[in-house]
Amino acid sequence: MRDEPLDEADEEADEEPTRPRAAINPWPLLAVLVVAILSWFGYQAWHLQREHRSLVQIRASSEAPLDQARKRRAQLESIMRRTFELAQKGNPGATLILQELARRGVTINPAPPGTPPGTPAPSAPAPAAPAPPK
Amino acid sequence: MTLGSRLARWETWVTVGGVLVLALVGVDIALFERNRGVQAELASRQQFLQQTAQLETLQRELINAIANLAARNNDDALRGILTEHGIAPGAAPRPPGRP
Repeated sequence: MRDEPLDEADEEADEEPTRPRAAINPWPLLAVLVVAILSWFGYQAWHLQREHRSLVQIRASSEAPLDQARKRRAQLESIMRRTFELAQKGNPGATLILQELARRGVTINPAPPGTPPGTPAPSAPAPAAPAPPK
Repeated sequence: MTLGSRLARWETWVTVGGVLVLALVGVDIALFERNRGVQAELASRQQFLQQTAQLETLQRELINAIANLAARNNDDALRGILTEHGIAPGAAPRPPGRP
């Protein structure tokens, strides 16, 4: 007895014509997604290109100080090499300078520039000078 | 326009967009690598400049020592080292970047 109203309602629902579901087209959504990703990577490319330009400018502006630093370093190395040679010949002043440098922990590598690192140097100090950058 | 042809058009555009995305990803990777190379070069330059600045003090002291010893001992060989490098004995070496 108590189930009757429910049964009626079910019957009515069964009688209603089923509405056709509208087919969802995924392509517009996908297109929006693709455009968003495209915009993001496009922006990244633009940003990276801009960054590259500024890096190139910085590199260009560092050329002059770098050249000067190379010259200064070459001069220092040359002076040290010549002092070392003089000390090897027994010059007391040069020997004194070398001793003072050694006391400060400065060693001179008399090998000419271009000698590959690791080449044994005769008992000699070297102001640890890294290879100049390009 | 039929539904089928409209779908085909969407599909074409999305495919073209996808190909462009892939191309842009490649371009971005290349640009990033290029920038990283320049940044590494700049960092190495900066390090070189800093190390050279630290060596400036040593160079000044070395030149002063050579000049003093050459003057005290009247040592032409030592004086010769300075003159070879265009440094007048007694003249303090110029700091870099200052005329």
